[in-house]
Amino acid sequence: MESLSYLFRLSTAGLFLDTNTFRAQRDNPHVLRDGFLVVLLIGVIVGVASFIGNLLTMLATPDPINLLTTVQRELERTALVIELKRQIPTFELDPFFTQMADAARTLQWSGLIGAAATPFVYLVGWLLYGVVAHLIARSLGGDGDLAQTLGCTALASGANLLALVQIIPFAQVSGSTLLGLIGCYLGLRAAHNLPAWRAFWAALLGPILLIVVLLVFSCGLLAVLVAVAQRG
Amino acid sequence: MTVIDTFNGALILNQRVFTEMRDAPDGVRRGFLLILMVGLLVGAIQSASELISVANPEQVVNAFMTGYRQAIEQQRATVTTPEQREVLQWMEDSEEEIANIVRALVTEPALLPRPVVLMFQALAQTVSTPLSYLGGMLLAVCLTHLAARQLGGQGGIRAMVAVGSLSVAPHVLDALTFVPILSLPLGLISWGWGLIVLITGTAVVHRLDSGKATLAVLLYPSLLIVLGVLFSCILIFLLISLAASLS
Repeated sequence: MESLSYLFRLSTAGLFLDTNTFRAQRDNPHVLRDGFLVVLLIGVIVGVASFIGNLLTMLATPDPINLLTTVQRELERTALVIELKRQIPTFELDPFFTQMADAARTLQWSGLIGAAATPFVYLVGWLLYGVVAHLIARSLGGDGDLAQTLGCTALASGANLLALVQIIPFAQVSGSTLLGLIGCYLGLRAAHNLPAWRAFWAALLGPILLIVVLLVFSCGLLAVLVAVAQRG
Repeated sequence: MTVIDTFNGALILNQRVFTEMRDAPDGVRRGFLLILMVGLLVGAIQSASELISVANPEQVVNAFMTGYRQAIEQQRATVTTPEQREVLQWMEDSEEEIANIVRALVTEPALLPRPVVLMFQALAQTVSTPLSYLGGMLLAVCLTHLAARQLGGQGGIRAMVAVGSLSVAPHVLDALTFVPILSLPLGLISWGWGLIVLITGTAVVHRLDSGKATLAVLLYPSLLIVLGVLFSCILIFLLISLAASLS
């Protein structure tokens, strides 16, 4: 088992885009195992930070149900709603606020559940991205094997260390996705000895395909929903 | 070279600092340190100023209601039908209830005491500011790097991120934007100055002349703006056509 300090050094290489460590990782005899441990370690650290942050956010935020009750009570008193109710007798705020309260109850624990699932999400994301990027890199003339691709792109998850800031409630993370993509580009370039433009496409085609698939799926879902609503 | 030296060098466009950042193996780490320093300074001052303004809930309610009244006045200038005027009147009559809603949103108690919540909010704004600068800088650097490579540049992305970090240095002026009268001019100065630092950095990293470096920095943002305007025009045209066909 590699020491924690070694794994932490590998993680910060991804954060600070250390190209020498990316190249060294390609020739590491335990490239896949070390990559897996790096992603897991970062996932656990970020998950714990995010869990603490979410817990503190819940303690620092007023009860959403109380807030909705107050908002509904005051809205019912406004001239706008009174006039609307007078002109449209069927107009009621209750169904809307009941739905909002249901959604608030459902989402109340989503932050904590999401935080606990962070290591799993990072590992699945890394494996999926790595496999797709490997296939594209190979088709573009890359010479690395799957273990090298996964091992090198694992270092890019060092960008997720920026998400440690979530330990502070209400803090916002930004920049980690772009930094992670730059890390993946460097990782693919090192793992497959690809020229700059080919490594660029190998790093980006996977996310672009994912966005296109999601857009097509959303449009299809929307079309089905509209068709069902029209029949209804 | 200390982070303060790097900061000063970036502000006065010292070529030696740019070259050193390009060639240093730890350039990215030093660049991020500079962003952290500027971001924390700006974030701390801005959050302290905001803390003073939100500490009194009535001040927040009054600020919101001023905006609410201004919005109604603006709408009043554009309404044409008696029905629209009636709705505006109802909104005007609802002022007290709207103020109550805002007051409830601001003062509704949480499990933690209000001073602790306010302190968390200030801390969150302070630590989020460097990350927001980092996100903006990375986006600008990626777009610039792509354009620079297409224009014949030879630099790498690592060097570009390291040198691009220097463009955050002028944003130290954002710390003073809490003064209302200074907000716009200082914001414009820091943005323009940052742009000049990025152009200089691009020229150094990609070994391009200043004309090509300027083109590299401005190419994709201009293209995105033009596409955005075109898309908005098409959308407005479609909406008008749809409205005409429905009526």
